[in-house]
Amino acid sequence: MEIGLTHFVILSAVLFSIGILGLIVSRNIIKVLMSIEILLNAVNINFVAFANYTDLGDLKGHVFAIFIMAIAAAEAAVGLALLLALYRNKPSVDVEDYDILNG
Amino acid sequence: MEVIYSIFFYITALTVILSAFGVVLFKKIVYSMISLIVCFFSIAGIFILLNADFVAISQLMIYGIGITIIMIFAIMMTSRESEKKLWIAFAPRTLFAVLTGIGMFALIVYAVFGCFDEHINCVFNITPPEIDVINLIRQNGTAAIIGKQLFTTYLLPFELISVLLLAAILGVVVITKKDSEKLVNPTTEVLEKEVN
Repeated sequence: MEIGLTHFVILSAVLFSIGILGLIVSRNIIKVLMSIEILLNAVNINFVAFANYTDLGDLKGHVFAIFIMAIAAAEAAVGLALLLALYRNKPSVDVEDYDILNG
Repeated sequence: MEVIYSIFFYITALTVILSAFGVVLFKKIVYSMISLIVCFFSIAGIFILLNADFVAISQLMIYGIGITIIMIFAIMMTSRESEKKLWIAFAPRTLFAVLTGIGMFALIVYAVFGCFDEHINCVFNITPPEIDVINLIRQNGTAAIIGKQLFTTYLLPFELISVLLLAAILGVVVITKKDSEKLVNPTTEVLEKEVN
């Protein structure tokens, strides 16, 4: 069977579902951040696949994928800095221990 | 040629999915991290299959190396012996998460196989990329086209991204700065008020 756009969309859907599963299920804060990176990667696969099959002249999807990567890098850095600042005050990486943050 | 493409696609996609499951399901956080590195590298392979060489190399440099190193630093600075037992939560939200994941996947599969082929042509004008365009891109690379787009059409978002990265750098330095008598960390202040 010839590999088409649907294969890449399905792969992206699988990856997005795994990311959401890990985002809700995991108890370690660092694992939650990893799941967010998986979500962003799934979106990137979608953008690049559609750019390859519809828009090979302008490559707008590639530009969007690179913007997403830049924002993901900033997000990972700020998220992990917040995690370290929290860890200094309350030495734990368990999600259940941070219910103090819900106000 | 087509068969080789299919074989490479299935191998790479299987690696992506298995390593993504490994990120969620491994018990030790360092194993999850290694699995995440494998996931990032094989996603770069998917990008290469999609004729996106610049995005693939950016993926290797930003995700595969940059974000990975930041996360490994965070793991090494926060992990202790007693926290290696943290695994997935056995709470009602676990069932909710599994149902959400399966439901979203089923919805997308239904959308793709149900009405994708009939209706997508009027929205996206899907045609397989022509062979001469592909050959041109494979010869010249995509970096020239992306650079031209970045500096003409997307100039304003490009500059905004640079401001955002600068703000992120400054914010990270301010957030993780150690407390002293003159400079109080804002999170520390809030938490101390909460405790007292």
